[in-house]
Amino acid sequence: MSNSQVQGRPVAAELDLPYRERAQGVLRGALRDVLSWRFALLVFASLVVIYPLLWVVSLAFSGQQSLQLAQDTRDMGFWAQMAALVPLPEQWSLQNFRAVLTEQPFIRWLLNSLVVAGGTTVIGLVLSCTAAYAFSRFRFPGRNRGLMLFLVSQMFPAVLMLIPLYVIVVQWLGLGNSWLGLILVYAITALPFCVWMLKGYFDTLPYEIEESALLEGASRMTIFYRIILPLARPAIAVTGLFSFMTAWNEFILASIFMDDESLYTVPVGLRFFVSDYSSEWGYFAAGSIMVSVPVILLFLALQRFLVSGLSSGAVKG
Amino acid sequence: MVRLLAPLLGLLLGLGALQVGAQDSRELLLWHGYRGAERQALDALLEEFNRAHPETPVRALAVPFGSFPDKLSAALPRGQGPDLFIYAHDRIGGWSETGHMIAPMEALLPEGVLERFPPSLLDAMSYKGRLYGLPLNFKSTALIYNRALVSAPPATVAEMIDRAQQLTSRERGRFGLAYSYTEPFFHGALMNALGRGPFDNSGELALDSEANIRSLELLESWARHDRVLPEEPNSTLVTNLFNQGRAAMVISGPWLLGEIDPSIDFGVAPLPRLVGERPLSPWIAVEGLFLSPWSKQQQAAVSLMAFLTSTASAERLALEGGHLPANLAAFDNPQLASDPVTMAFRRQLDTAVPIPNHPAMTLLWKPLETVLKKVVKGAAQPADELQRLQEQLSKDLAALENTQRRVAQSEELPLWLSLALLLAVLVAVMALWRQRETIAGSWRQHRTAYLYILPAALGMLLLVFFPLLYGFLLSFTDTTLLNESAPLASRWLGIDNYLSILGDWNLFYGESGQRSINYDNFYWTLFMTVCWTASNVVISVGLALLLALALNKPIFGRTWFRLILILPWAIPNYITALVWKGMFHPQFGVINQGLQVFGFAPVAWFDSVGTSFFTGLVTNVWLSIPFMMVVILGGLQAIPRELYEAARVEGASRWYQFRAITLPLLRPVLVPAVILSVVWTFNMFNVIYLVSDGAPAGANDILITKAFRIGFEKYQYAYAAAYSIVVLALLFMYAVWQTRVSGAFETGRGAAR
Amino acid sequence: MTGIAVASIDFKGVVKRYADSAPTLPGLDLHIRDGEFMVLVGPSGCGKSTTLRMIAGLESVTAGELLIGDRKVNDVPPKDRDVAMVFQNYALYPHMTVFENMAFGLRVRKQPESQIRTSVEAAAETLGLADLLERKPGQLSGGQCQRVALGRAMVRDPQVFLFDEPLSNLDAELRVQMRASIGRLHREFGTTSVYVTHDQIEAMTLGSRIAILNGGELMQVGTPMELYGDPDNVFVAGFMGSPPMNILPVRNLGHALENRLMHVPREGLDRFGAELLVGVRPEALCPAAEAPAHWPRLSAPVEMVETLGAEMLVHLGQDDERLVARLPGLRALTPGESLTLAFDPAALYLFDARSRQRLREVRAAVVPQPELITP
Repeated sequence: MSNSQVQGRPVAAELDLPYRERAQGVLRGALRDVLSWRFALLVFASLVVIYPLLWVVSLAFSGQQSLQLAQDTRDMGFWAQMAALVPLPEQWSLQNFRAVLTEQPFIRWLLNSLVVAGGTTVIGLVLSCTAAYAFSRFRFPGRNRGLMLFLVSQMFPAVLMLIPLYVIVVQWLGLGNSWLGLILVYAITALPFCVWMLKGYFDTLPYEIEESALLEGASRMTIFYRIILPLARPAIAVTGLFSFMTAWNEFILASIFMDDESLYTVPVGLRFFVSDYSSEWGYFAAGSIMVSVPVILLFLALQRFLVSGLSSGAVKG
Repeated sequence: MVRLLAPLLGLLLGLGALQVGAQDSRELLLWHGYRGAERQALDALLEEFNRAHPETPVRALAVPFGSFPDKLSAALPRGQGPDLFIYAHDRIGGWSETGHMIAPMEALLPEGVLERFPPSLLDAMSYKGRLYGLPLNFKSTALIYNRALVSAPPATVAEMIDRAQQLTSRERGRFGLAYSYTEPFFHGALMNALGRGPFDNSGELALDSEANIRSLELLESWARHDRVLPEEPNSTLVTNLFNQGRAAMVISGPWLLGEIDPSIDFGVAPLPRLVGERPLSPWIAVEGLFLSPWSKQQQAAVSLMAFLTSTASAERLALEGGHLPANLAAFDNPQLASDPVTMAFRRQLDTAVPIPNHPAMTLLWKPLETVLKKVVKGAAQPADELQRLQEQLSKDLAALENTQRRVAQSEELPLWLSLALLLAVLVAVMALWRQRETIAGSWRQHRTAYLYILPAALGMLLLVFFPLLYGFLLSFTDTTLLNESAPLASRWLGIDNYLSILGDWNLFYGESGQRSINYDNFYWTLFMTVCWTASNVVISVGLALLLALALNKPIFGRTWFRLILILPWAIPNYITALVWKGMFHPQFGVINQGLQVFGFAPVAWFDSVGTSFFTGLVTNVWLSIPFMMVVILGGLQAIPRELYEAARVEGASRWYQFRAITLPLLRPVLVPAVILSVVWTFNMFNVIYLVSDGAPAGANDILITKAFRIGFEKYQYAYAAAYSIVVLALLFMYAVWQTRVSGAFETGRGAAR
Repeated sequence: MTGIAVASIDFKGVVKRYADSAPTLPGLDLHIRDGEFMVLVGPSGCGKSTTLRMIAGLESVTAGELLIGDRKVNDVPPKDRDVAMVFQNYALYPHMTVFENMAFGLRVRKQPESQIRTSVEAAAETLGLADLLERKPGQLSGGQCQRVALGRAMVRDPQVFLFDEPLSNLDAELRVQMRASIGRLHREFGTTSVYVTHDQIEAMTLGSRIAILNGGELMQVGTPMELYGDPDNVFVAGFMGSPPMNILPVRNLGHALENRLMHVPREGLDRFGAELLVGVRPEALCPAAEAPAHWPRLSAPVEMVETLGAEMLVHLGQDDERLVARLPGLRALTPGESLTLAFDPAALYLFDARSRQRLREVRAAVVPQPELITP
């Protein structure tokens, strides 16, 4: 910086120097981050994560049923060849989305899915919170065995559960063609994971808080919902999210239990686009994106809970 | 929160109650798998029918292709389901043998209806001399060619291959001929032209016949000698190639027509002739209207069938829905008659053969496809391979038929079994009675705890442990597709299934000179499953740890990275698994293209055990890292910073800090996550099934996909159940061991109290 | 404020045993008087916390009887015992404000909201928390948290206050302050209080009486001065006082006690065994030059000197014959130098070496004032 310049606008220079320095500091920090191995690793990992998803997105917005890579790349330069690997549609179009939305009652099914997944979340959380609380806080005969049984339920291949589930839900309970049947099955399916995760979280909450409440005259129930549940919010959010996704992504049971198209959930609708003879992959991709968006939004909303909710309470009194 | 939940719960229960019981008993329920234009045409017809027959309104339900058979086989044997349904004819044999799935309906037919259909299509709808439904339309393949590249359709096969060779330029990704040649449905054209297909004159399985061996040799020469076919074909790829003008001729069906790019000028012709022999005779799938044996209004259902197959309806379905109507009179419709494409398919019908509806046919698809894949890759000799398949299928078939015979013989519960059951119940009751004081006492003492668990336990009991018990009982029977509806006692077998799974020591097959591993063997599959689980868990925990460490401290763009890295968790895995499969395609997949850009040779990913394993591994690791990363990140953030500061002061290196502080303190978080992840990966059906599908030849199947194949491709339900119970037992042993080693059940403080 | 019912606490042969292990408490008999401030003290694992938690009802009683007032409370759930407890880690509800924390117990008991506000505000005023009512525990310092915990216990006006090492998470200065305020509160309200600590200074300063526990056994109960001046056994002698009483092995020669450091002529020793322990408090030792001539002397090499300002602690002796003397801090001592001290023979305590129980001599008690405090 030349002398005359500084003299020319002394006041301004004085004023924005600290600002500029601060900005430079931030910049330097960012630069240091960008040049670290951690950043390189994260960028690489993000690319690996995004690339397959880019295919789905590009296909959905291509307006076509398939995406092609430029095949004949031998004559191109290295970078052109690399660029040719990036899946981008020849032209952008919302045609696939429009088709999915008009051909099927997609919005209606999306709403159905919301109700089913919401119901699953609520019922799943009620069941898993109470059970996990008991497993975490009480010592009773059968406790370890019970925990193990919850785990065992994850071990039996789900495909073979189909017929007995049909017998129970449709024939015995008469809940065929009703969301309630689906909700119950989904909630129970997600239950073991939820119980295990919530129990782990409850274990990290200090006992004294409950003992204190107990002395103050609170009943177990009061303690459970006035003290434990509010404290376990992160874990509840995460297990709730898990229950939600269990219900949100399932299609086999949903298509087998429901005998009314207006009751289908949205993954069932997606499955219409895939068959042995021909598959409308463009529609499928567009539908997939519409199916994934609510879940991604949920992840966004719950992001601050995600990390703490799966591991420890880290609640300091 | 609870205050908010309670009314919501009530609302849901109310909604659930409302929905049940809104069933009109006069209604005719029709299930179909149509969508798009086909469906609109059908709906229009149904509306017309409803106007004419207000007393029996028809309600149609579209069922997605993927779950249609499951839905049918769940509902129909239990007296549920539709009055009638539209489905392909090739399962008739199995359904008829099972019983309770479809009803013979010839007696209910009005005069003259049968005359609408050609005898071959009616044959397709009949099994053992009884007619089980009316043909609605047929799906045949034909030769579809790009006029810009092929001016006139080839008349003979030799001519077709000749033209194809001229038009093939593998380096430029251009092919003279493309079709899903590894699918038996397509290969049937060759088998039928050279001989009689998979069955001989008397209906016995004859896969290793001279003609069938020749058909495989012919295909092998097209693929390996003439090299006119693209690798790893599937319908999407074929469509793609044709639309880009990179496949001059394709063999496909009417379903392709709607997807052909408008810029392509195409023609359709029947498949060419083999010189001196019959023309290539493709298999056709006949979509038929089937009657449920449970329908209370069979007569009305049959009149609906008659209506839908009438000439007027058939014309409408053909014109609006793109059907190739089974009612051939519809082809006289001037609009159809003047359409060369439709008429080409119509001409193809004359030489085409309906898929045999013998129950054995359903066993054939998957293993024959495996054989085709092996042969076109030069991994097997057609004759040897077909012989082996013939032996194996005959055995499977005999096993199936045996179960049916056995049921016919034994009607009663064997005495020893009923005694044993009675004894077991008695012992259980006695044990409970003797313990009643303890049980009652522990209930009194721990009532609160039990009350908290009760709702979850009841749910689990009903929806998890009952099905498990069902599977457990099933595994002691010889239940298959053919005797499914017989009483349990007559299917009782004992522990034979387990003996034959665990006692299967046929690790190899073939002569000692060229022995190869028997990939169907339980121990091989177990070995693969253990490799699969261990490598997946180790790699995903390792990478997740690395990423979590990178994300643990503030870094530029941290929030965004975290969000992006979680994405694979948020998107349904059946979608992403399919994307990965596409990326691994040996010829058109982006991974091989990328390798080529960097100067490496492309890899035939699904041809060898190792590379095929790798595809599944990459996909599954990609899918499971987010969960692990989030768990570990949480664990990392709970470790007090002071510990690291203390270690730094004491001069510990980064690596030492990691080993002495990070890892031990992550343990409580990691152990349950690893247990869950082992259990999930062990049973990760979707990835294996959708990505490598066990390729090559089932070598990469894990126990659960194998159980699925046994159950749903070989229809040996009991054997599949026994397989699943073995899976359960293995996982259970693992979990017991792991929890004992790590004390996962205990909480730091609770254990001491 | 209190005193409607008699809130004495009685342990009658109370046994506590956790599943198939040796009993934590093999049989406790203890009477805590109404309005008393009883301190339970002992090393960690001695059963003092278990005892406290049994009063609260957080631990069940395996055998024996536990009475609060005249009521047997063995099977009374915690909420019906009308006790309040202050925990070591405060146990505040992190998701509630200070006000909500203090009001929780009252709200659970469905008291009218206006009354809750009055009580909470009064307690907050007393404890200097009035400005913090809307904060959450995460925003408070440790001392403030503990005051909230105290306030939460106070607003309920319970029959019994229980304290479970409430000061051990605080720094030294705060600890002194809080100690003072707890003492003041007890004087003000006179509520029966049971206080668990492992810190004998807290015990001495706060307790009306102190119960010393070791390994589940009650060692001695008494006023602080009783325990200090008339310990029943080596354990109590060693536990009370800082630094603790010096305990040295001696041979009983019948007419004198002897070891390498000293020779104490004494009568009436024939009743006791050959191997004894003598105890002498550090503060009972004085430089030989300043002592009467008939006081026994002992000499030992100086090992280390801790200077405390007005006085100093001199560590003497070697091997198993070590002792500490509290001397006026006016002289310079160098380690290794031999020092001769003297003590009043009446300030000598005798213990049996085997049973470690106090051996009381027939002579007049050396204890200065035991009867003065006992009510």
